[in-house]
Amino acid sequence: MAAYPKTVQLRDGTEILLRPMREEDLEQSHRFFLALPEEDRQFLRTDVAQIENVRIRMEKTDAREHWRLVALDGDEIVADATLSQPRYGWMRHTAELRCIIARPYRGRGLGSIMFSGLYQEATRRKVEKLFGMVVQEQRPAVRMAESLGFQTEAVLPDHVRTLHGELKDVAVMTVNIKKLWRRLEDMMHAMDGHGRERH
Amino acid sequence: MVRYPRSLKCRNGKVVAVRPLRSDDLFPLLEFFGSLPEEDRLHLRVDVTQRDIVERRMNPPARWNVLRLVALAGERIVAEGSIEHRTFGLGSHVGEVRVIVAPDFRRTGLAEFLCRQILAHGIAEDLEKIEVHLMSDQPAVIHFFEELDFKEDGTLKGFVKDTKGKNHDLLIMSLRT
Repeated sequence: MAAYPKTVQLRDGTEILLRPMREEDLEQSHRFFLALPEEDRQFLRTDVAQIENVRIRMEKTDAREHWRLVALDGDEIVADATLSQPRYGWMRHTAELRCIIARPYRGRGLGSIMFSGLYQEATRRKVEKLFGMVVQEQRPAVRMAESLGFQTEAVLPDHVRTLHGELKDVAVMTVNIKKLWRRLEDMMHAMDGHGRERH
Repeated sequence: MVRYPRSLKCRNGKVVAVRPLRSDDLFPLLEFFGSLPEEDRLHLRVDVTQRDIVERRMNPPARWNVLRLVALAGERIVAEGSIEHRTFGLGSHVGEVRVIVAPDFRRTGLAEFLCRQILAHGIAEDLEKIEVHLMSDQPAVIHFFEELDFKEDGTLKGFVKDTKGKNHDLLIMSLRT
């Protein structure tokens, strides 16, 4: 199960290290965000080109409320995934999932590895409902979520303003936890043994 | 700028003073929450019978803009209304309102007065969209917000759990400013 750090292999054999984010990851995390094309960055929740915003994001990495998993190829972060669960209140049984993958690492099975990590953490926390918030016109993100079994449950009009000042609708996508696991298992199986922990 | 306190004569004949919540309001606030019928407390976002939760709620998180108004009849808090929004990021143009009124001050015009105050604050802060999040089984509250021109954005099934552990649907309504 989820003992970190752990090494996994992508479909093409590349070895990736997975572990929860640490305080000392600030510079790598900033480099990771800066390397994302602007097209990807404009839909992130804060302007992560500013190192101060990356620092605030990391300070908010309170393991109880925001659990962050990073994937490293050598010393470089190549994916960043977050599970956010309110500590108290009427949505304490829910958690929001987010995942950002560096362009050169997409389509290689890293998404399902990251979501498996989030799934395992959600299960450990006994979360009942999982959801994601996706800018509706960001088709690749919507398709990725749909391939994991997420369905659009509500669309919030004009819910985000991009770095360019445009208002965009946001889809709230939800998934049944068992369905997510079945899809992840199928994906891992299709990876033919890769994506699994090395022993 | 609005000057507080503002005075309102409610339709139950009582006069209330409306002003921003102060740090020394903790005990009257706890008393107010404690006096609400259990049925009402079930519909609130947090368990307001717990002192640490109410205290935490009084201190907004960093980089959030929060206006929290209370209505006082004498020394007693009889309603609370708030509007909050992030001052950073993609959602900084969206605010969220919440209003809670003691049973003996409902249908007296106080809820509407509080709402109009906090909505005016949101507009002054350049918010473009103001949301309210409700359990979908609160028809009277939904009707109240519809009367203020809020429209339904969507319903999320089983997204809220009341203090007894029962799941309810979450209704999101919004108003364009």
